Amino acid sequence: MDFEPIIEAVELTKTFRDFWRRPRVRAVRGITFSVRPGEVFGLLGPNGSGKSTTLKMILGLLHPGSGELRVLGESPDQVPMRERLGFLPEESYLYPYLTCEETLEFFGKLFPMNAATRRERVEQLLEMIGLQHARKRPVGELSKGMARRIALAQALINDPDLIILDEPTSGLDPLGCRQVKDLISALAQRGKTILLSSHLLADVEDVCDRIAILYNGSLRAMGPIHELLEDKTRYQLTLPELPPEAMKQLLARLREALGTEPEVERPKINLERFFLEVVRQAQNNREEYSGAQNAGVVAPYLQQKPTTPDHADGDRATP
Amino acid sequence: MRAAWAIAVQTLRSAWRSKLVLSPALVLLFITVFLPFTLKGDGTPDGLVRLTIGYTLGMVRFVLALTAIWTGCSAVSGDLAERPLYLVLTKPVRPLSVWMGKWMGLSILLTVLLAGCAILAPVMLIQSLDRHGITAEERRTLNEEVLVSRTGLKPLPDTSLSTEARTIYTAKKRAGEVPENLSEKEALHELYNALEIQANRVDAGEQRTWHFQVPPALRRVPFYQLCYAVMAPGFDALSTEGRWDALDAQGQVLETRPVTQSRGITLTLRLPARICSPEGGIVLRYTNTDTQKNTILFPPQSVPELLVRSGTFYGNYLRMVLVLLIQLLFWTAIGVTAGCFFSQPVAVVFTGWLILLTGIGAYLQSLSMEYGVFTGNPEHALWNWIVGPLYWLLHQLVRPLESEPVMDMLLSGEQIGWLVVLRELGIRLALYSGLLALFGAVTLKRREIGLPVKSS
Repeated sequence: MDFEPIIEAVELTKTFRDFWRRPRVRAVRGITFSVRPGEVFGLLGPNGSGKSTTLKMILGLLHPGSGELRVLGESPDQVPMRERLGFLPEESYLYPYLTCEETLEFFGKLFPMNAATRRERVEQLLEMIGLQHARKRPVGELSKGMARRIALAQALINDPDLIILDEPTSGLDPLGCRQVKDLISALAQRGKTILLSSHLLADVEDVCDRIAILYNGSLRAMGPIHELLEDKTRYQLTLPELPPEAMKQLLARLREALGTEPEVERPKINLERFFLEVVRQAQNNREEYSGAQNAGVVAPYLQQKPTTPDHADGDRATP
Repeated sequence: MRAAWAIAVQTLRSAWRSKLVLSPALVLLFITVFLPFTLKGDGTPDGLVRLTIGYTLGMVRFVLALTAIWTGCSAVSGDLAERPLYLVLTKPVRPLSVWMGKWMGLSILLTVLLAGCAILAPVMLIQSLDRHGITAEERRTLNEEVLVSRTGLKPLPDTSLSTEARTIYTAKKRAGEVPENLSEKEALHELYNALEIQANRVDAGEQRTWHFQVPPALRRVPFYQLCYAVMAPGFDALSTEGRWDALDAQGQVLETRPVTQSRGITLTLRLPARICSPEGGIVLRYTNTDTQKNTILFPPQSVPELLVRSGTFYGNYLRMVLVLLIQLLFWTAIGVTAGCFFSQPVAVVFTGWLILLTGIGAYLQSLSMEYGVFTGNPEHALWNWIVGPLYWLLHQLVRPLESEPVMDMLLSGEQIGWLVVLRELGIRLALYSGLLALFGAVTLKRREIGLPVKSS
């Protein structure tokens, strides 16, 4: 089925100029891509590759030099369109003198919603990010990770259709990273479209359906993540524990069939899983902790939307 | 408006919690509460009142002006530098709402600070008067001359001078002695002024008469006050003698007041209500009875004026405070708009210059005249071509911002009419602040908020 893209960029360019309008840096060089409804799209690239510039053009914070850009079917500088958009910037950029609760209230008031709905959402979001106990604390006094959670919550206060996340796991501990990644997957499964920019490849790999890789302002690769990462020249076989004799026979057979020695090693769990297991055990022991607490439950109002139709390419990565 | 109000509340909360309010509030508290205790005055109760109110309100105005400029300039530029605005502008918020929100928040803050000072100042003044133990008579004088709201009535134009000016103009025109670039109206005005100066010269033994017309609303007053100052040629004429007579329509003397006046000092005479005819006419005649035979001159800027009680001091005070508030809010608007263009330090300097510019309308006009911008003096043709349009534009922009000296009016007991307040409200707040809001909003809309920090 054909769907109107949520974001469509055609030959998009951006050149930064100096005071005299002389071109100084060509940050984005004619990139073309589209983000489809309900997918998690990752923008990857090293520092200075043009990821943030592209996001800022999508958000209307920068004006494109040339090319076409449509967001939710409209030009990015259209104010009403922003009612359907949520944004988490690379740094939190919150008002330091407002408390967590006031911050969410403030951003909620910028959208057309009634007070009862706003208060309900603030409560649900505070619970979702595990900061109910810190609701009266000024944002300026929070740790970077806690401020990051508030910034994430403000991006979701309007129940947006399109969520733009710039380095969403920046400043978060591994537990927070996992929760954010789980949240992204949960939101995507509920029909939200997510555009994610990161240079943390593991994050992108965990949650994205499709990715685009930028380098020096140009698009170098784009496609479904499983297709791009698939090594079509090799197979990987995972087996349960075998008796030594059976293992010997299997290796002999493989050697005979391949004509070379197969690589054999025991799989390892990754450090993230190990760390999360240790923290979960500590939480089960109910140790006192002043940071963000048990979070990860998606706010009920974010679960209400029906899932949009299937993704065009490939399976969704599940956490 | 919803978003603007949310931003206004956020601005207020941030200002309160960042101690931005606390520092000016403490300074203002010191000025309004402790400063009156340190003032001694000139030994007279009215001097004490004028000094107390003048110093207190003058310093309050100065501190609040600095607060308005500083907070106004940092409202948007600070949010741009620290980047919360970066997040706010990705929400469905129009740039005009951002401007309005910031301005409203700061306006509420300044209103509260000014209201606090405006309430405290008279309380402290009363305390100060009690402390100085003024007599009932002194208090009566205070209530009649300082703590009062009076309307000034200028004398009616002298018809004989108008006729004479017309005769001279006709003769000069016939003789071809009127400069071509001078219109008839301008020429008659200049001739009238010259004749008036001549007529206001009163030699020893001579007389000069002025006619006043009192409006119906001001006829039921217990007394009138004649206010005037004289100049005398010659340094030895420090003090001169004379006599004021109030006449009826038939020229009969109703009241006589011998006076001894010092050169350049404004004198006030209390005259009974009966000098006013049922039709509102008052005729006053000055006779030079100086024993030293000195000639005196009533300068055009301080010709005799009749002061008539037309309201209460507190009404006048309220209107003066409102005018001050409107000025503060206008300066805040300049600051907020400058913050949309520039970083905070540049915005502060720019706003300072702009406010200075709005206060020098008369100087700009004199520059324009000097360089012949309006008169078209051919000697300055090239200079005119270069700076003329600039002066003209600045003058046109600044001229509507020239306002009445409300603080001086309050201290001299002169009525500050509601029209003065409405004029300030319309021009400074509605028109000029509205234009500044549009400028700021357009700038925010066109400006690339997301530029890398070094290039923004």
